[in-house]
Amino acid sequence: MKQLIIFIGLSFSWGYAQNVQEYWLQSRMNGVYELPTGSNVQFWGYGDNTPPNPGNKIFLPGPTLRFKEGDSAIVHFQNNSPEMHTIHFHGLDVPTAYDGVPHTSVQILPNATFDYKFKCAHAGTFLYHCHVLTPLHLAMGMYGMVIVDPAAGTGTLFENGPAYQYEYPLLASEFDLDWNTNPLSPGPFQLFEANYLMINGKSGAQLLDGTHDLYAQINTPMAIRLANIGYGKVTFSLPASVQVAVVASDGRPLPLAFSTSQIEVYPGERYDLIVSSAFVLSDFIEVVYEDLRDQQIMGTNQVPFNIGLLSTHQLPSESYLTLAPNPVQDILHLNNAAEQPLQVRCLNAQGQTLVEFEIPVGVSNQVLAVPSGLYFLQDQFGQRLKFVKVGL
Amino acid sequence: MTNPLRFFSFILSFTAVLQVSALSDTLYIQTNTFSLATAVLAKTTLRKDTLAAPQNANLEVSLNETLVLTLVNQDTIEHYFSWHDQSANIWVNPGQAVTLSRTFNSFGSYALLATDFMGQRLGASCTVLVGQANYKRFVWNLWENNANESLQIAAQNQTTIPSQYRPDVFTINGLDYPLNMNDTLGMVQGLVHDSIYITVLNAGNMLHPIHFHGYHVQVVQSYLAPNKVNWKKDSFPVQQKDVVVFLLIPDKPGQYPVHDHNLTANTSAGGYPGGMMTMIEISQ
Repeated sequence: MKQLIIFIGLSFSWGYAQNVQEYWLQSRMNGVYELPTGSNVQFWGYGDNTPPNPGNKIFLPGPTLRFKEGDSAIVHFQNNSPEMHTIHFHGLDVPTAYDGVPHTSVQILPNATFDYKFKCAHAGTFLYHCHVLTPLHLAMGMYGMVIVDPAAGTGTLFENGPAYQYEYPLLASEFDLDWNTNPLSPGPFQLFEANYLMINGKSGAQLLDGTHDLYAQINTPMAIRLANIGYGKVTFSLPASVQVAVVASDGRPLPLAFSTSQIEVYPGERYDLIVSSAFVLSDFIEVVYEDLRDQQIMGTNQVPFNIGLLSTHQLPSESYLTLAPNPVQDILHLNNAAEQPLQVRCLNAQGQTLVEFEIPVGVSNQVLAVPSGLYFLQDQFGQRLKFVKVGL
Repeated sequence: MTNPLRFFSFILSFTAVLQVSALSDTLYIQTNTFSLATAVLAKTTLRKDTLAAPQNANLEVSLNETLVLTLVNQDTIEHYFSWHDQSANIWVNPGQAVTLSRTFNSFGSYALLATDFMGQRLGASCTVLVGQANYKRFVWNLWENNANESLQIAAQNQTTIPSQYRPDVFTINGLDYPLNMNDTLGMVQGLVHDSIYITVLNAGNMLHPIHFHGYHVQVVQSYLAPNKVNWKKDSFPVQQKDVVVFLLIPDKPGQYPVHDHNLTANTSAGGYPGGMMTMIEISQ
């Protein structure tokens, strides 16, 4: 009876004053990562394990865990692999018993389970990763992001912090493909050589397939959460024309937000940015990876960065302004899908303005009395459309 | 000044103002070979004694106190030093001694760093803590190198920075983990709600991003990243030759590691855990 009372009391105190947010994660060591060359390498990682249909897949990076400030977090971890693993909640300042460091807490045996419990005391961007044989397990892909929203929910980075309408995490990481090819014999851990550089688990051309673009409507704030779980320095360079405010780092608001277009993120660090643009843009965030040991550039990535007129992402082929036919002989049929009239200039191939006019919303026609040649229509947001005039 | 007593009193008070307390100390510059957890390497040290040990000295002075420091060069080559926040070099010939003095008027931490090739690559340095005597305080003097290269540098067979630097020994206060578990200067011990100051000098040859488990710390001082002062961080890049001071006020008891998050530096001769890692132990 006494035990029952204690149990009820504990359950009541756990569930009464706090919102409990639970996740179910599993670890596996049988991930297959397809390189842009078409060949495969092995990775280890975390995957969803939510009952009743837990699945058997792991992901690179692992699933993003999302909580609210003040939440009591429970992460049910099941190790479905032949080696010991843990979860270290990087930056969340959890109790020692749940810190995921083998010699101060516990390491989870193969096929065993463990419940990690902690309080989400601060809104911000955090990480999680395995802390068993960390140089190897982390390099093999055992990491993911944790986002803690303010108690009121998404839309601001922290309580009374800046608002955003779009949100993108950019997690930098690295592979040493020799390790991923032969993880049982990686050699001395200090000889890790990053030779495959990633953002959100993708690299090079993989980032340019249209599914990894950052997009926002003009004059609308976008939150970018930068994090680096690799072993080198990562510099993110945003297009010079956009407005950037660096407002938080490592899950804490900065005493004074500052503006810069280049943000250096060192291993384990996180930065939260608010970005906006008054102009339509089709550009990139340039990402440069540098070896901390000798400052050699290891490589680069490009993340497409687009600002448009519409509230939803436009692919380049889905421009808000279209023209037909092209080549055109006399009348240019225009379709303005933007939510406002466009002020356009017709430029010749030398960039000289020949005529200016307004394109109303919707379908309209325009007669252009210009000689045959190559021309551009450029609107007030900088978007350019190329067309060819023939036969006048 | 018609009153002789008032005149005498004035002279006394003037003399008192001029009297600045001074601390005298002597540091010996020496290069030796050491065996750490799994590597044999060479290191140049600044120590209060002539023992062949890998730890550099840590000195403490009061606010506004003058440190009169004599450097004795036990090595066979000249060494140069400068304060981390000054450019002037102090030159010490082999077998000779040079005395310098500095009055410290600001709370914080300072470092005297070797600027000659051997002394710099091999980590000769000392920290000076100013005005921290009333607080719990700890020092992490970070240094790393490639063990074989350090031996070549000590033998003067290598005199240039390698184009591809691949260190394999990573230390805090001259020792790699777990050898540094008995280092009372580096292993942080305190109570919940203590104000604990941690001075981190990067006397190594590359940047070290330090990650705190369990706690965020407030950046109190960073000479090379002054814009980050007052930030609260769990991961902080300590640049080469920077002297950073963190304030840790623990909110809970616990035992947590602190380590370089460039995880290749968490190794001793390729094994893990090792290298640039220590512990924070907080009691209720």
